[in-house]
Amino acid sequence: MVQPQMTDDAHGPRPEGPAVPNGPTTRLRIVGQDTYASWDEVYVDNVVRVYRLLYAKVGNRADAEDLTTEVFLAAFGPLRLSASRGEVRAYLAATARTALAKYWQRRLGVEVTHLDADVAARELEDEPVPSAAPARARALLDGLPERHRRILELRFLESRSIRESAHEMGISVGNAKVLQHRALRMAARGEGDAP
Amino acid sequence: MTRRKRQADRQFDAVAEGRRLPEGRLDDPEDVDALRAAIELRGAVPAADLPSEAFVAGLRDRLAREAAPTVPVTVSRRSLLASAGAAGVAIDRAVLAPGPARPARVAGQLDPADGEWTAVASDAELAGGATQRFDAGGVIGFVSATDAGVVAVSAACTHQGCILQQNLAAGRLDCPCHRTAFGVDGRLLFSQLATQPAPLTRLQTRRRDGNVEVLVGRTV
Repeated sequence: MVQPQMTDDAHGPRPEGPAVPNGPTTRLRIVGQDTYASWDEVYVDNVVRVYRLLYAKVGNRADAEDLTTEVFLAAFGPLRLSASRGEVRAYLAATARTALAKYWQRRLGVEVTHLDADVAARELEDEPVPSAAPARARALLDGLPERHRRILELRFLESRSIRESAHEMGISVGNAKVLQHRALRMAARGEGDAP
Repeated sequence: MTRRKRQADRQFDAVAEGRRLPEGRLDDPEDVDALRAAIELRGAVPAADLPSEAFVAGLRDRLAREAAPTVPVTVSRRSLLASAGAAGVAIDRAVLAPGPARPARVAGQLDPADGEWTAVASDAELAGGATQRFDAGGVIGFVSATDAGVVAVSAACTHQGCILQQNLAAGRLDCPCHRTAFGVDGRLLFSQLATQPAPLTRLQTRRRDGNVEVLVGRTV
């Protein structure tokens, strides 16, 4: 299995275009001739990975689609087809990081989430790994008071409407909104253990 | 409820309901943290983070039209698919083919126009019904000796092209992306998906000089 190993300096956009694969200046330890044959192949191989990376950071389909579009449109100009798969992915990861930062500035004036270039490049690598998201969600919910945990499960994990959630919990819609607001703040503070 | 709180709630509700985040200003750092928590929770919904086929196909067309490559591409699509091998074909079929035109749930077979027989395992390695992973000619796959003879399948899941992992204990191939598993002969064992993925793409095999060979695209 060809598995590009990123070295420390192998990320970030390089306007000059990435180094020649397998040349003496290659920044990647790769096995074999590991490049893409066409732009279409670059797209097919990476679109799902890039989308998932961004979806995890914005939490909704429409914005993830817009950002994925932006990343590929922006990256296909400066990229060279001679770049290795690892370099192409590092470039896509760096482009995604920039696009996400600009998105938050435009939308809410503050960077709510960000992509670490190293982490992003690793996540774009060959073998998709099982998502860590369920474990992270569990960590956020664990230890929250029962009602706070329940409202977040209903709303965010089970995709129930605020009305359904309120009905399920036997509370008013207004109370469900207040509870959701408080529960998210508690989860974010890591106050799962608070009474 | 204060105006600021309502502003934050609109963001939280958008995440909970899978809608585009509304424009606004979040000034309270605690609201920012809470929104981040909401996004993380949402990321845990199984399969919610997969793009729609319509989006993937639409962007592909748009890129072909607008982002004309700066380097001329001399490889035709047909020869690309032949050389990219089964992995490429499987991804292509699963992600990029328009819904109605998709083939029925039958196993595809990779028959490269310009194929090359490549040894991927020795008979000894497959003795006793063992399964071997291989990476040849742009195709990652698994080859096994089954009761029905030697079978080679592409390791690309027919749903979204994720590379399957061998589950030795259960004697099957598991998809790391969604709860889906295939037998080593490529038939679907189970899947969490509403639309059941097709069996794995098969490769032609033959025995030669104590080895099992598969027919894969010639490496260019």
